[in-house]
Amino acid sequence: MSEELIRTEGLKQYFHVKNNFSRGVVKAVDGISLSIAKGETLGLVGESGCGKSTFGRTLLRLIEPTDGKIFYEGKDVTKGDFTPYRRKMQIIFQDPYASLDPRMTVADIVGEPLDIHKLYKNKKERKERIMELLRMVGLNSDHAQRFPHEFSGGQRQRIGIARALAVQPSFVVCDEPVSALDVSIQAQIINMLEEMQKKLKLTYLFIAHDLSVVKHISDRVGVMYLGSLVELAPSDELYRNPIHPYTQALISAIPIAKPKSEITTKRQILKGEIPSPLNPPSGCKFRTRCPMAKPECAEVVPQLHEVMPGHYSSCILK
Amino acid sequence: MENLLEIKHLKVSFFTPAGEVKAVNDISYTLGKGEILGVVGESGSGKSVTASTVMGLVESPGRIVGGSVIFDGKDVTKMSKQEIRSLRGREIGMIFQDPMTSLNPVYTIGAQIKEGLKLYYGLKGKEADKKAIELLKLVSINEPERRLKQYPHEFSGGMRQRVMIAMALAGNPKMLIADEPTTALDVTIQAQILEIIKELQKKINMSVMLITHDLGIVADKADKVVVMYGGRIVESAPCEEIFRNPAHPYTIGLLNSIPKLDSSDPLVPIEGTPIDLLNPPKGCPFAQRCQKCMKVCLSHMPPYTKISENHESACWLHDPRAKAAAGKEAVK
Repeated sequence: MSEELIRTEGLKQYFHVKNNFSRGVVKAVDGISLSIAKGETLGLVGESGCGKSTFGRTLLRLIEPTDGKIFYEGKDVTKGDFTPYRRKMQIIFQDPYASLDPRMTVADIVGEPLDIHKLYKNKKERKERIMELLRMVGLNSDHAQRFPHEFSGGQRQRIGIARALAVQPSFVVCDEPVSALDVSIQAQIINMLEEMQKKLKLTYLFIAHDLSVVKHISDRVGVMYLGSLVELAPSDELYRNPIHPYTQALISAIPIAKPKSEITTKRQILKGEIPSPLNPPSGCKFRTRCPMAKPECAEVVPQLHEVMPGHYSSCILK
Repeated sequence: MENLLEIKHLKVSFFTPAGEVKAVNDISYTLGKGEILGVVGESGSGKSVTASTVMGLVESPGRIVGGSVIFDGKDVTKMSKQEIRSLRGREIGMIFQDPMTSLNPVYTIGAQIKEGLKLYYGLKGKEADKKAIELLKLVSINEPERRLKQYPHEFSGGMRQRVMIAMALAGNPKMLIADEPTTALDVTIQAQILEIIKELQKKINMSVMLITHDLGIVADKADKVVVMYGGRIVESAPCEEIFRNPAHPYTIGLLNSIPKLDSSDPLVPIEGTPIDLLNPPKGCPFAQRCQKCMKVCLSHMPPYTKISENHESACWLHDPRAKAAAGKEAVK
């Protein structure tokens, strides 16, 4: 594989919960080690509450990690001043309605990161840069002085993308960037993200719960369940040959927009609910819903191991 | 097949300070007994407003401006408030998109299910408990006796949606309206919920109106499909047919813009943004974004053209008159 850009070692994010109903520790991200190569798109899928967004945020130190290490270009950036790296590592948020300040104009939203990192010499240069960014994401200069409420969801997401790209990052966490958008608009944004990646040589961590979207955009895909990575493989390989029973169920549950008579695979429907992250099952966390669970699954905490070259799974049965 | 629901030329508008929003603009479709109808469309296409109209839930500034909704032989749009109330729950059940906010957080699940049972059948005490437990079993909730005494916050999203289904079925309705029932849920839970709806539909021969934006769900569960855009139905067909042989450019565009698992071809998005219903275009609502837009599309609303048995499309491309003129008038 080409040169590595981002690497995590045993990254952990624990939240202490204490209220009238319950107390304890939620292990939102429970020891994730992976690396992302330059120019690669790593997809991260999993159900809500599995810790995929928390992982993305921890990676950018928007929440300080409980334990583990983050490396950027081989350099440990877990501790100390993160500001210089924040310019290199950006994020696009899920909800284009909540992630833009309603009282700022589009120009100010896109210009704010430029102000923070002092990336212009004079006002004229700032303005030119903002216009260039807006054009890049398919908006025009008329839009600059408007406010977020004047835009549709897809256009707002474009503004969010322009803001993330303003500081010329090399790594962008895309946290469910299309799940709040209509289907016809989703494709526009996905295509734009792909185009930007090519043009600006970006590396993506693409977090989503929509497996078809992730398959489309990613080179490799990681599957998370209750804070742990259960499978990691090249995108095509993962969908063709899922090894972990959870991945198998997940892929089989995707509704496919095709005539029923053309679908040959049998749908596998998982029993039960996702266990509470406050009180996860012992051993393999998936065993309570796993159709293949054996007694030993309750005892051994499974570790990610290489099943085939480049294809990792944490299931102890395979 | 006998029709349970017939919507004829329905028009619903919202009269806002900024002007009239034609949320539903002259739509007609039917739903047969024991049939699952998939209603597909983007946000703002009018799919939920149609459902609200069937339930008599359109409120000011919204108003039914024309057309009729015939449910089981009676016109819902002409009913009094009292008559519509007796329809809700008993004849038509409804489940909503967001299971997190559709239940009352300060009442137990049992109390909320039993409220309906008391209203519909006058059931009280032990009898009501028994029936409520039965309903929870029907939607595969484990330990229903214990669950009845719990509050909504003790349930996960998928379980709340199942409780919603149980409540919707309490009155033994002839029709279930499921408005984006799984949008807020994860894929594995979504598969469970859809399976429950399908099973129940078979078991009690209920009609289902399944409103969704996910074409995959429709392909899997529906018998027939209507595709809505900008308050109009642009295409309607049996489910197999619409995926095998889509006719309207919008339907084709939708199918092309979703990523497929078995190919990595680039996505073909539908360019542009959804129409502004306050100032709808004069002709076809999709014309501005359509790759095959012709001159006539910008000025005249396309009529429905029959593509094949039960398959209709509202597009000038399929109109015999436009076919004759094709080639000369292409705008784009």
